[in-house]
Amino acid sequence: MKTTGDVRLRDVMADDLPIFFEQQLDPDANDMAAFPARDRKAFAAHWEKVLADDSVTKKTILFDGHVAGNIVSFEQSGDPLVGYWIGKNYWGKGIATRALSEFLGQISARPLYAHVAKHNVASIRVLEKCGFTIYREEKVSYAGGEVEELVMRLPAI
Amino acid sequence: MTTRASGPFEVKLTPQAPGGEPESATLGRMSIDKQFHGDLEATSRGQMLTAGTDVPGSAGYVAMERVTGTLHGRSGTFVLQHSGTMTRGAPQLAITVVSDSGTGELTGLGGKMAIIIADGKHSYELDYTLAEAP
Repeated sequence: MKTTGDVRLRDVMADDLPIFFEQQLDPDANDMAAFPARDRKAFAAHWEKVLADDSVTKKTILFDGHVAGNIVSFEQSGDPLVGYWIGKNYWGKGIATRALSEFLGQISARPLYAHVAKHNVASIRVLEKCGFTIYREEKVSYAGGEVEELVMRLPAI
Repeated sequence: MTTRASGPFEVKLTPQAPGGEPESATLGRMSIDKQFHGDLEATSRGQMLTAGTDVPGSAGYVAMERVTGTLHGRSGTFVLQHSGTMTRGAPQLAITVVSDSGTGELTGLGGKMAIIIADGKHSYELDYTLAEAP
């Protein structure tokens, strides 16, 4: 895996949103994450809510100065979660590992959980490299069927 | 006599390249960089190894960190050993001062540390003894 190039996190800006929108429209990315694309209206409403919510930590991932994706942390049913989305053009460069590593230094909630599709081997490896291990399995609805999902957990240290 | 030291701390974990072993699907290796505040004013550097399994909720990690600073005003270094095991969702964690790892004014230090997380803040409780070095 190529891991050269500069990975940085910064606050999300309005100009990032059209790029995030395109990145989350990619069918291969949707299948990889077992997460459906949002249409323009649902996407705008989602990010408006995210940006207004101070309890959600959200960062834009830059790769050599370009918007490569986003990473967020939020609470769901009392558990702190982390999630990230990398644009398909930026896959295979070690960006997610470096972005997650940097992000984990900025959020202190532990144990921290992440949901990942069981077939998303690359993302599972990213989480493992950052200290997450498989905590439980779930099934989620996707594309009219069911997909197996892993809930991964990072302990306090 | 056991003394309790407590206070907040911050930690940064940085993933490291696998250490020469075949690329494993389940091993993680991270560097640890910590700042302790309160009764223990110190920094620590160390390494953590994690091992996941295919059984959800079963995993383990070990870590060693060398702490450098002052404990209730006594300066020196010591080593903390973490041994964490999760069995089908039930976590167990022991953090122990490595025997005779204390140096300087912390020579002879023994004890156990607990990590407490509340409202997203990390804090520690170190119950320790300071015995005469052999």
